[in-house]
Amino acid sequence: MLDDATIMKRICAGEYLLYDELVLRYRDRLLRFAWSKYGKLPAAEDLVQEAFLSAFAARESYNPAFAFSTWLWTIFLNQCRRHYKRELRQPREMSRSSFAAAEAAVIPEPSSSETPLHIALKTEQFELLALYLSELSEVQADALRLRFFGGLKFTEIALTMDCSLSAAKIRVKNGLLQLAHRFSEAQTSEGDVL
Amino acid sequence: MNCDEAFELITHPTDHNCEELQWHLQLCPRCRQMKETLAPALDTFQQILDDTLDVDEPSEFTTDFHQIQSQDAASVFPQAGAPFLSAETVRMAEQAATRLRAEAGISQTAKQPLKSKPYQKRLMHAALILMAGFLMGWGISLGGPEQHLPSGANGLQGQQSCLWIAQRENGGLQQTKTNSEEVSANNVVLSCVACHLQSTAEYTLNFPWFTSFNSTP
Repeated sequence: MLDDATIMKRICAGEYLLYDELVLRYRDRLLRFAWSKYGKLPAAEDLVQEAFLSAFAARESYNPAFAFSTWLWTIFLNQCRRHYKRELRQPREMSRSSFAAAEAAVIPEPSSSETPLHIALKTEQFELLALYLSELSEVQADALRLRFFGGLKFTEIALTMDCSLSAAKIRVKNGLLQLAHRFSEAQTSEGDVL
Repeated sequence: MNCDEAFELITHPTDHNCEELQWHLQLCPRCRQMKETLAPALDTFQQILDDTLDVDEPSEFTTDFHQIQSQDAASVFPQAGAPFLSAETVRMAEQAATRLRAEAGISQTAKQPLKSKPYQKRLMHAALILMAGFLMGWGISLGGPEQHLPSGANGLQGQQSCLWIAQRENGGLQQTKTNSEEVSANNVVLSCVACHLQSTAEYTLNFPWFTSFNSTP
């Protein structure tokens, strides 16, 4: 299998169709990131497509000295932040209902092992996680998304977020601590209700 | 494995159950405590990721892409006439590439120090020493008033050879002790100064005690 740098080199040489391979490699992770950030799949798809297109348009500026994945994530994160600022100008409340509009499209096609209940639980769990992530500071939430949804190493997170390695680790750690606390609180309150 | 590496594995999307980590957790109560504290969040992330990875190809989003494109293309794509890709986003991509290239260059330099670096350092030190010497000499010459050399200093020019060496060559200290002690000490100091200072004349100008010493008969 070709590595990203080789593919980019060949794309720059004119083999544009190879870009499909890079899209396939990263699309799902980027989508999961944006979807958990905005709760709207169409908006998330817009951002992902825009990131891929801008990376393609700026392909000549790519250099094998850095990883294509880091570059793509940096582009994507910057676009998400820009989009987030726009959203702040038109504030909306992040709630489970914000997923409802895309719900029909969101629920994945069931595989043979998945029951409708399983799918519903999975969707609910993801929505809840996205909701709690939205309550964290943006940098902490983004660091967590990059770590878990993007599967980035801490060094890659540091490069993508333009911060030090220790700062990246602290963001993930503190974000997880707050998130864990939030989940524990929710479990406690659910127990009280029952 | 240290605690830092353990934290990386605890938060790793796929390798969070590896044997190496389990071994570390058995030995390290602090990391064990950390994992237990983070468990509610970690479990949620890992369940979602495990489910996603379990989904057969094509991935869960592939279907969504096609559905949305066919169902509600107008809401997904920008309004007609508006370009989907703006110049701003391309510029952002280029800026990101520039920054990453610079950081990659920095990290490579940090990781692989050049072999010539020690030589450069030595050269730098040598240059600094030379510069300091030059400045000191310059400062001394600037600090003193411009005057002719004192008469005693002229006498030094004839005493360039080291007295100690001369004494040794001439049969040791016994012979020197036959002369007056004061004159002998004076000669010794003057010969040392003549040997060890670049310009005894400048020295004389800056250290008055030397002049008085020199003027002693």
